[in-house]
Amino acid sequence: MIKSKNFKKNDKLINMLYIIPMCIIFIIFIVIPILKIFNLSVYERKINGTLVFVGLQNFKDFFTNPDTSLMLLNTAIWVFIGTACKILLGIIMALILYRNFFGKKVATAIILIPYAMPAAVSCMIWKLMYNPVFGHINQILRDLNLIDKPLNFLGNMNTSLLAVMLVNIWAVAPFCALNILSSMYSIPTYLYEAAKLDGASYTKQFFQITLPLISSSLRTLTILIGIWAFNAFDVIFMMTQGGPANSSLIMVNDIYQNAFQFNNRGYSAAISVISFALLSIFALLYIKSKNSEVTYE
Amino acid sequence: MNKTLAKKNTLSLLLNLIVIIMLVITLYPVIVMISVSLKKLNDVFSVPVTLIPKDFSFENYLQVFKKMNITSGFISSIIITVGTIVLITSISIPAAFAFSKLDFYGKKPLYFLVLVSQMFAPVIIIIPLYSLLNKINLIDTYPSLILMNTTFNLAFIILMLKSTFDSVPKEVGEAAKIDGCNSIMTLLRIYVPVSSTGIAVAIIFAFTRTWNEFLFSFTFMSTTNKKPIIVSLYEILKNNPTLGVPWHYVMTGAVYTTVPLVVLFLLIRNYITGGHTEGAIK
Repeated sequence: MIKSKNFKKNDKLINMLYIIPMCIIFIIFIVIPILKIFNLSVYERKINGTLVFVGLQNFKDFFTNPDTSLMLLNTAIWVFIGTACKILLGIIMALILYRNFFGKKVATAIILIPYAMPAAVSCMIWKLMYNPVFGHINQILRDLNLIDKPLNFLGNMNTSLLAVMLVNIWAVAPFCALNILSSMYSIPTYLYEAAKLDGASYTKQFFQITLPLISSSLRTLTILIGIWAFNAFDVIFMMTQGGPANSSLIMVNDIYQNAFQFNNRGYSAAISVISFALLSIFALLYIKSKNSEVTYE
Repeated sequence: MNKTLAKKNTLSLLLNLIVIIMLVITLYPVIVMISVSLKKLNDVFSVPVTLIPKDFSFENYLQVFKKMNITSGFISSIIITVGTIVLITSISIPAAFAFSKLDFYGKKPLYFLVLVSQMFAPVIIIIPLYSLLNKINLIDTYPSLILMNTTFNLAFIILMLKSTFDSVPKEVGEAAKIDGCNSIMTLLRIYVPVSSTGIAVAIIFAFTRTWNEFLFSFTFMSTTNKKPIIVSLYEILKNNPTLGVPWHYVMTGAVYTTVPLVVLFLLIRNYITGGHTEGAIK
């Protein structure tokens, strides 16, 4: 008995060999850099390259910077409204695709294409389409007689954030649709048949059967999409660089700009620490939500 | 009776119409990409803008390799992607196996670390990563990007593979143990062959995510010929004023970059929804 216990202990030790490579990668490239960020956030790099300890000055600078409030507002709009649009469109698309129609398989494959495209490629296409002179969107608006003079979507402070959000929504909503669709398929069809016999309308069926039964997986999906949105750096960087006049700047782009364009590494690290804290909350919510998910099979 | 039938017909007509509208909106940018890739440059700038090119210029698809420096971009992308796939599978298969079938010290906290690590965008820690890679002289080399792509896709791939291994019945491994296989042999001879579909899907995911990666490729690579295709295309746009961009070639390059991805995604389309939402602490 004692012998077998020792043997088991030994096994537990030997089995660790399987995860050592993973641990090395994680420690060197994720854990240590995260600790470094905390450390870096209390220093400031002087022009001659020396690091000076400044305490919480970088955080103070962040909260007193007049540009911060706009950036935080942009981040909130980008994350919350963007996610709401993606989920809402996802539900609508999933409802359309759930029913049987001719060419359903092809349609499901086609809506995957925006999600499969590299972000850089979709940014290039949309940049061309948004162009005030030879862009397709202005041409469509001209054809419909909606505008007299061309609109510069990306160059206007009022529209730049919405314009980049649209690109992101276009790319991610189909993914939401496919996810929601797969949870809708897991609902037993006899529930709908019973509802039909009782004479329930489609809207009633949606609110009484579909929505309650997909709600737990929908919640997890929503948190995940929110986290992805918070972390989405590429689209804004490639399309507007956060401009004009910071009107489309969000947190992750602010981190990058301060690190590599303005050379404010301490300040950038301070924003990283704040982002890290915000993301930790989201991550815990995600895991909690994922664990409480119920399946109906 | 006729009335309900008519109602049903209009309803299905309406549904088909909605489907078509949805598909047109989804596909419109893709159509624009293909349309511009077939235009001559002066046609791109001519107003009113048309979707159908005035005269089709199929030679763009050959000219782009001569006029633009994109061949090296594709070669770099392939080197980085293949390197990442090799490294990521050799690290993630044993790790996923251990999480799925074995008992070891620190299993729970490590699993939690894997789950949480994929929530944080790499841009948050880009400064320390840059200094680290700079210190070991890896900046502007392929290995730097292979390491970064491996690191930031590892958790996702491990979780995918773990759920694949989870679906293999425990009895299979136990039978092998009785026959005298140790755990390494059980993994290589039994679990890997049995889970080949799952592993193929994971490799395709690693491929697409590495192929699309922009942040590190843009920040770490400075030698033009080593930049992956995504960055090469982006820089044509960045380094020219809008009216000086050879849009027809950029879009041709974009088509070449997108086609392999779309094909791969269509191959694994039944696994996509599972892949991203995998991984709960049970």
